[in-house]
Amino acid sequence: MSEDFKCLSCDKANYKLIEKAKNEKIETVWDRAEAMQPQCGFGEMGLCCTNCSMGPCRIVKVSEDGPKKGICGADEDTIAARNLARSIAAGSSAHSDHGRDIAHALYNAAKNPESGYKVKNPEKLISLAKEWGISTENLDIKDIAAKVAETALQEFGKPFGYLRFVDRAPEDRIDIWKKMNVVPRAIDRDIVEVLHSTHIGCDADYRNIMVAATRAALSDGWGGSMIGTELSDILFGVPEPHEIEANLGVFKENEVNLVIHGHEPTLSEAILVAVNDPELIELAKKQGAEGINLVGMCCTGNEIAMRHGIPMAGNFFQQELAIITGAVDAMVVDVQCIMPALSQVAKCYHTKLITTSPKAKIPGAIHMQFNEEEAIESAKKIVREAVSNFKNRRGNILIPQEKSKGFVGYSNEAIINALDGVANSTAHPMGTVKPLADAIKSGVLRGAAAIVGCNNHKVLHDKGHVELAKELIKNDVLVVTTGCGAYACIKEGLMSKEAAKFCGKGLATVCELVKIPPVLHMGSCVDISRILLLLSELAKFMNVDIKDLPAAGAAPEWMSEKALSIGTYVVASGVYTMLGVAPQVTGSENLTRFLTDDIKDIYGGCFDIEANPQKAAEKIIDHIEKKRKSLNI
Amino acid sequence: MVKILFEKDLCLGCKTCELACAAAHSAAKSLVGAIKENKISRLRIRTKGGKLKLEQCMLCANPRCIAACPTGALSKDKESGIIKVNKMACTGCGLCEDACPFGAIELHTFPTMCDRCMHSGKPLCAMSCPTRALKVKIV
Repeated sequence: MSEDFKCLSCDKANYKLIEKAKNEKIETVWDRAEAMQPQCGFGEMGLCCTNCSMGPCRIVKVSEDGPKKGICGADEDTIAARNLARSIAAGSSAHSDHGRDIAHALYNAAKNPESGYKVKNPEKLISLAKEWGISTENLDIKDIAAKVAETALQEFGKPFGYLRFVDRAPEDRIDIWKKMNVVPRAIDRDIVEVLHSTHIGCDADYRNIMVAATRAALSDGWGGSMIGTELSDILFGVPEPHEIEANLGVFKENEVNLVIHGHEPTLSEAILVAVNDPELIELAKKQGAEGINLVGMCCTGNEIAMRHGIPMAGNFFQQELAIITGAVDAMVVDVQCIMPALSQVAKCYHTKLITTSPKAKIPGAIHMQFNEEEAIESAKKIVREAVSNFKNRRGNILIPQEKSKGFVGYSNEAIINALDGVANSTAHPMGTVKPLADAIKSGVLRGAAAIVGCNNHKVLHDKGHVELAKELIKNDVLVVTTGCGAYACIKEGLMSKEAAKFCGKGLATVCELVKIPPVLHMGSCVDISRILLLLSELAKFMNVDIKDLPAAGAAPEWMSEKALSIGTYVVASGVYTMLGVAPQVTGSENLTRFLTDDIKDIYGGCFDIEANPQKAAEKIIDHIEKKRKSLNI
Repeated sequence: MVKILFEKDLCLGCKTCELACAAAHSAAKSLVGAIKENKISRLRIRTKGGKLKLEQCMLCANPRCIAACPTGALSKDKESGIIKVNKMACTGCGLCEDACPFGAIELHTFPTMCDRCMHSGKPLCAMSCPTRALKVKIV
């Protein structure tokens, strides 16, 4: 019975497909997670060190005569902190390299007409140029774009100074960073420094290792990710609210189904242009299809849903299930969160798995390199491959009925626009967060929480996100979301007009007046930089620091190194952050206490760990109420 | 007789014992050798109902595997208590694997089960265990 799979996911669309996978003897992420049990306790506690070849070394805490130090003498604190720092550096590098690619695309838009990229939002470009002190006088848009792109690229390796976006933070925050020596300087440099200081025989002080790791994380949030978001908005447009469909029911039996999966909008935007090419639509019709149905998966899906209303097919744990429908003619992927397992699953169907990035090839997949210098032409070749595969479809197609509708596209600009709708145009300034601050001060809104992050077999799929979101909005806490959390929420209907029924009275009123859903889709995982900026704006407006705001973050189902980087920059930005899965640090009591407690006295934010969504919500609400009390509101 | 005691509260599930077992039974006496020679571990750390358990031959007094064997290919060594396989008689039917209440036998062409490392004098699973969750007791 497909209902038996309730223990694996709380999304009904998945049950039938997991059952189909079982019947067809196709292994999925849930099978592999089961086969992996028990998972190694040393790894789980962060106590295994492979940083040099005297190792592997392991700290044995459960028996008296087990080694308590590595061969070099590194203790549990050093080993756990080094492992964590390296993961954070890897996460920061992934987001930041994404940002770098977008900057290159902007440069291509300026300098290389064959790329097909164009600046879609010149206003935002000019405003960023002004912010960065780039003279725009007598320059056309392309020249400004080139200068902004070059300046952005210099942020990665500049030898002196600190990152330009740091100045967007409230002054008190920058002072804390200066005092702690964690002001991010240059993105590549900060990441390299973590790798250096965690090399054998370097930094052994777990607190100092966390200084370097925090700086690398901040160079993601207030650097690489923010460059990714801002430059994507300039190139591809600032997201605006609109209604879209989500979940695996978005596939169409009679059309070529092309799934775009991964992260960087440079590829998905070009694919979007290509699927609308009349010649390729004609080709699809010749193959017997009625058209080309482009759908998104994971964060690149968030990007094109936010900007173009492309349906969101599914999140991280649904990538194999999408292929198992038998209706996917091609899954086109770029970087990050693409399970290598896809190539095995694709082999069981007619689906073509097409890798496109030189940074991510998968054995068994077709590699068609995406060339940003001639983006549209590259994309057309890829789409042609997908279209020509429609005729190879076999029987046994199962497209689930389940799909939900919801509103996406809440960039900061869109949120402020919506807030302007309730501002008094004669008495109040327009284009500010004043109405949001007023709603929070009055107590109609108790506060705001961000629910972000991935899927992880250690938490029932989607349940961590959905239950936490429902509990928070019931208690008048506005929820913003990105990444795979956004998929979970939209699938559950929390971004629809009807979602008001899940809200407390205060939030329901705010949603009705401002005309927003109670859970706001703010984009992909790099777009958590939008959340940082929103918090920053709100803090500045209320004349406080971010740490004083009645706000919290949560990553109920996180799993990636990127999530660790995000968590760290969010905490270092002053936000209380709830994790549904414990990071691999629990072997070091000192480091665990540092992350969940001591760090609060430094940055004002800290990590907390709670797997149960109800209890996590209680803790978040408790935190928000404490902050309200300190603010006397 | 060499008994191996399993203290599951100490086990971290790292499976070092499984690696050491396979290496000990390879001609090369190394992990790389075991992989090349297709040697498997003769014990397994598994989870059942969320709890850790060890699958390893318990040297039963009245082994069900021997009773189940239709060709009489299995016998118990009087002194050490370990189960021996007569490869000439064994047909690889797998009835012994099904009969073992501890899941200790795995059919790898022939039934494979713990031999207490009789060839090297000491059980390498216990020797390799970093948390001392496996302990040797001579009875």
